[in-house]
Amino acid sequence: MKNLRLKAARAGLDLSQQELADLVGVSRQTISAIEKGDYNPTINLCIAICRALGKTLNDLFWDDG
Amino acid sequence: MGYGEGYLAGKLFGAVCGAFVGLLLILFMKKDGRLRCKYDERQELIRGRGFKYAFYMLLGCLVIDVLFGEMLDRVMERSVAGMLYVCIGVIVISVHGILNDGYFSLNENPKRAVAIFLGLFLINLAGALFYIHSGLLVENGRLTDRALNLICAVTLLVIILAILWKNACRKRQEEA
Repeated sequence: MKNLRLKAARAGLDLSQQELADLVGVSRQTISAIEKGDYNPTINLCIAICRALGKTLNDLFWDDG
Repeated sequence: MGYGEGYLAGKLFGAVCGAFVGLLLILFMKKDGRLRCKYDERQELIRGRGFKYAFYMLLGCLVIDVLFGEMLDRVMERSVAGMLYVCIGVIVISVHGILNDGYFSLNENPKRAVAIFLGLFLINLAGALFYIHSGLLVENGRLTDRALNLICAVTLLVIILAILWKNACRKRQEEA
């Protein structure tokens, strides 16, 4: 399932995938895979992404569903 | 067949020189000048799967070698068969990593790496063509250890083509 909330939060801060990847210490392809829903990140990476984007885990990764 | 001490010393010297040059090339490929490769968690996962597939492939090659070793010995020397298995394993792990974006580490410069691979490919291709032209590649109907250049050249070519193909796919995706 695509993570559109992550994409929107990143775009909201005017960050490219590469810039976010550099901030959290992963490759651009990993950010792309998370946004496309091709990869489920570990909790550590989720936290790192949330910190970089100033969001909570609920904001970006919790599916109310 | 007995080899002289000079032959073995030459081989050892060649291996040491090769390791030293390899070290320099690895340093040249890195953005931060460090030897150690840094991978993120997704890349580690992909590389783990790649190692698994390469292990199974190598296992398959060894089983074939055990079952059909005598037949293989008629067409190639032991060293050629061994190098062939190693290169098959290298191709499996490399191509799997390249196609799934897990090949290049975070601190690696892919352009430099491709340039080095291309250089190594050309060196091995030149060696292979020389041996093919001089007729030393095959002796008594068997591939000799001079075929190692050819095997390495083919391996590097497959890796380079996989990198180029992946890059082309990525550009097509970005444009779409």
